[in-house]
Amino acid sequence: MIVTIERQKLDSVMNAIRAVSFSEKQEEKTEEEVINSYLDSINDFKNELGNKNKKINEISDGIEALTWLQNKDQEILSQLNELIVLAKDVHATLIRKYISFNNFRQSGIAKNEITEFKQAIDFFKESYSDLECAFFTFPKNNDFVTATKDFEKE
Amino acid sequence: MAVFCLEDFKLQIEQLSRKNAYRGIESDLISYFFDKPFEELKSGARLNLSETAPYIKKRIDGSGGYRVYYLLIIKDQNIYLLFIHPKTGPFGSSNITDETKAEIYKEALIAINTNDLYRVTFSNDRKALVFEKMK
Repeated sequence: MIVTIERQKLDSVMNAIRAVSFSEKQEEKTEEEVINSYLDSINDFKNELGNKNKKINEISDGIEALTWLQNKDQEILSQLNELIVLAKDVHATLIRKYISFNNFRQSGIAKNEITEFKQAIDFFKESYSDLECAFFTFPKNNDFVTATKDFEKE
Repeated sequence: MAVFCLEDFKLQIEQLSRKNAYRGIESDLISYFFDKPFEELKSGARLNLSETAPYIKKRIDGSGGYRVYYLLIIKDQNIYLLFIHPKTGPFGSSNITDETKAEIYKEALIAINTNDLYRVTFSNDRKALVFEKMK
């Protein structure tokens, strides 16, 4: 009888230990999963930002190439004007997005990608500003127009 | 094909190449301006819309590198280096204003008309630009 009771007690404690052991291991796995999922999210964020940077730089290259357009008729100028207005709006959105990454940047998360994002935004601004300059600002500057004519006579 | 520059450009290069941050600037310029066919220099942003004498702003060494302003006189295949500024480092700055871009352009016209220029070549080890006064 005593043996049976003691065995039951032993089993009970064993079961309790097994339960704790199992739950602790489960919890360990869950914590690992949480950390893995966190690291995966950072990697996804870095990849997304990398792709975004690539796309912005491609658009900027495309805008820069427009300064080599030969056709400068009213229809083209009107389209370029529309493009510049749209680009300014996109730039404002991108800057807001960059500011929203401040906490990540300060924590050192995706620091390089965020720096490259800012560089891509700056280049984007540069490209549409140069386009505006070439088609709308300099053609109104008489000295500039005269200098161009003189260079073309060289 | 011949490469010339304004005095200001020469001074900018001398100032920048003294800093470690811009150690590779002269090699970068040699690679860009001397190692490719003239036609390929017609890239970057064309600021004056001219077919025969394009005034160009070019990014060198990626978006965080330098901005070089130069003029091509197509019929003579001449290149005039007018202005350079780094985007990062101790002398790094964002873009120059439209007024400054126009001013540099006008100064270039005066310098070319008066031959107040330097002929630009490079050293045998291709690490340094060599400037020779024209007049």
